[in-house]
Amino acid sequence: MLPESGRSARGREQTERKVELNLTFNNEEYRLGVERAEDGYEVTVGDRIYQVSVRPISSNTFSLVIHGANRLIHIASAGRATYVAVDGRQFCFQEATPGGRKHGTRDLPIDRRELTAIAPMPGRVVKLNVTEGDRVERGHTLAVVEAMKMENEVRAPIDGYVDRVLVREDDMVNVGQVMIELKSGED
Amino acid sequence: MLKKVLVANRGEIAVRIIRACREVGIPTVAVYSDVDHSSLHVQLANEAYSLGPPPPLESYLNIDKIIDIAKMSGADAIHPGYGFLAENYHFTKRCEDEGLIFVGATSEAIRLLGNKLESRETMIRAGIPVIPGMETAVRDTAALVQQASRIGYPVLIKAASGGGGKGMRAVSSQAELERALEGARRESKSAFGDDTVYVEKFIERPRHVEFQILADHSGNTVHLFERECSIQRRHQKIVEETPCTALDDQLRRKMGEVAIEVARVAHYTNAGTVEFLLDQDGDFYFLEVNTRVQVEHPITEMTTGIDIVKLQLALASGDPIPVKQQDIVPRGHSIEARIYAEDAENDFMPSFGTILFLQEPAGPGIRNDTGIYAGCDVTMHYDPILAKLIVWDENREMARSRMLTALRDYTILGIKTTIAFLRDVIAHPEFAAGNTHTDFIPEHFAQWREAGDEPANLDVALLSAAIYRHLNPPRAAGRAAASGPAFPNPWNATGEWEIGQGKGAD
Repeated sequence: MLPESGRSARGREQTERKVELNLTFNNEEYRLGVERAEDGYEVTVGDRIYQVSVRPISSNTFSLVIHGANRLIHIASAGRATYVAVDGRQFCFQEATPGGRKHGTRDLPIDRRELTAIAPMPGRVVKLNVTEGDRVERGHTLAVVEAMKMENEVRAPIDGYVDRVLVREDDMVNVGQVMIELKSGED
Repeated sequence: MLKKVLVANRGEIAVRIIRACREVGIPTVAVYSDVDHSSLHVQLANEAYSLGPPPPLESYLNIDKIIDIAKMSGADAIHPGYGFLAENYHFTKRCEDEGLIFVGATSEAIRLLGNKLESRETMIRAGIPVIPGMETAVRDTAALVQQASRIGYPVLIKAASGGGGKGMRAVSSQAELERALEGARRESKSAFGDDTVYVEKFIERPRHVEFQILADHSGNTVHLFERECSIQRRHQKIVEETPCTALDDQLRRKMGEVAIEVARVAHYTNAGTVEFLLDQDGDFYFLEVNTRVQVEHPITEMTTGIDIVKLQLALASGDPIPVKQQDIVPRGHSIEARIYAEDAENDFMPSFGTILFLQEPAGPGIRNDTGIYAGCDVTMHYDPILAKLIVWDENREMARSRMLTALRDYTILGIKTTIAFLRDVIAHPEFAAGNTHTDFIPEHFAQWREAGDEPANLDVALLSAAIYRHLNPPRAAGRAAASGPAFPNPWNATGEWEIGQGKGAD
């Protein structure tokens, strides 16, 4: 499919190496390997091996030919995310990297997660109802986050006390960011 | 004819209005907030002026600034679109006082119909059927609680100045009422600048059926038949169609007559929409009048062949309605699906970012009203509507099939959108059977997950990502990761993709 003529030496070097990457989708991690094969590519997805050829269409679009059948692929990437559309279905893969996210609950030890109130969506903190030391009940609205004229209430996950408030009104927050830390009643 | 129209809006509706003006030869003036400086509506207008910072109150709701720009640019008319200032009678009044033509109803009609309570009273007096509920405004929370108990739960809280589901909350018990009132008031204040709310009886599983009306300055009023808009999430429509499967000719004629009567009672002019709830027994209740062009106006245009926006411009300049009621004969079936920047797998949370790739469907009977382009930013400041996909075909089943195909061909990469969700809604057997009502989404799609159709699709997507990476090795990975922007320009990373290279070898 991709003719060798007109390809630079640098290009040839790049397309002939084997590329390995790990992508996550819905909390599952997938090990992928890809290298040039005689009539296209040999790709491994986990322990499955695919022989495919590629018909380039534009920088974000190609036809994938698998067992003679055409699949139209639209694809783009930004940062660690790769977006792929197959037959109108969209997949967003994250490249697995060591370190992980800074603000996410994922980094917290499991027994701390239930003691935090996290932002349900990216947006602006339009209301903060609590200060440190306040007694709260499960389901109590601690804060309100707004984006695109939509409001979302951030509720207390437990009965307890407000340990730390990590945001202020008018702050911008990311989805999953810890906004408020709580401690249980016994502390 | 109007000389120059300022479009006081943004997004797909601003684009729609500007296109209509261009087609009839009226120059246009766009306005934009700082984050919208390169938006599609700014690109298409003859002139464009900045409104300043992005918050709506400082930009698209800033009456003084918009009036100043209209006068400075020599516009003689303002089209408000939908949302923002479209149903703010203070704005309309200001236009009237300043000698600017407001493309829409008069300030008095907008004031009356915008006040949901006053319009209820007026309609009750005129013998129009309404939903049981409050008849006077009460600011006091205790009195609202008392009214809710009198009406009987479940009740619906609505913003007195509302529309589009903003500030609306269904409440099933007194325990929930106070918090719901607080949220409804804050949302209403933010969306409409007025925190007055009221309470009415919540009707279970109704259909939302509305009639498009047109009225000229000589008192001629016609309707352009109905639209059914029952498919809603968070009380906001996402799929609309015409005709409505639940109406027979007799009920359609009756509702059309009531819609025209509503317009007459309110001394209505220009385009508007009379909304009804249709209950499971076939009884219908007047809900409200939307005194503006409606998001879903295109489906009516598809079946009647009447361009509502162009007619708005003509009616605003004093022209009479060019058609008689008996000459308006709808043909075929039309469906609209609203493409929102939302995560349907996560309670329709808004999603914003850069659109990295865009492929829009095309073909016979397919219309795409859009406000986006590849490379544009979708910001957190405004309503998350990106585009509306509208199809027409000879009957409902054919239109449904056309919509499914068109949605399959609609690709937006970089942000979450409702496209795949809409496909599943329109493919659902209950939708196919015409069994639609306003609880359709919570009832059938509460825990929706994108299916990917067949497991093999995931592998195809994964191996595509691997090949893409092979073709586009990360450049100077260390440097880019340390300092790069969150969204690098995809066109910088074209790598081995030399367009047309493969074809030359055949």
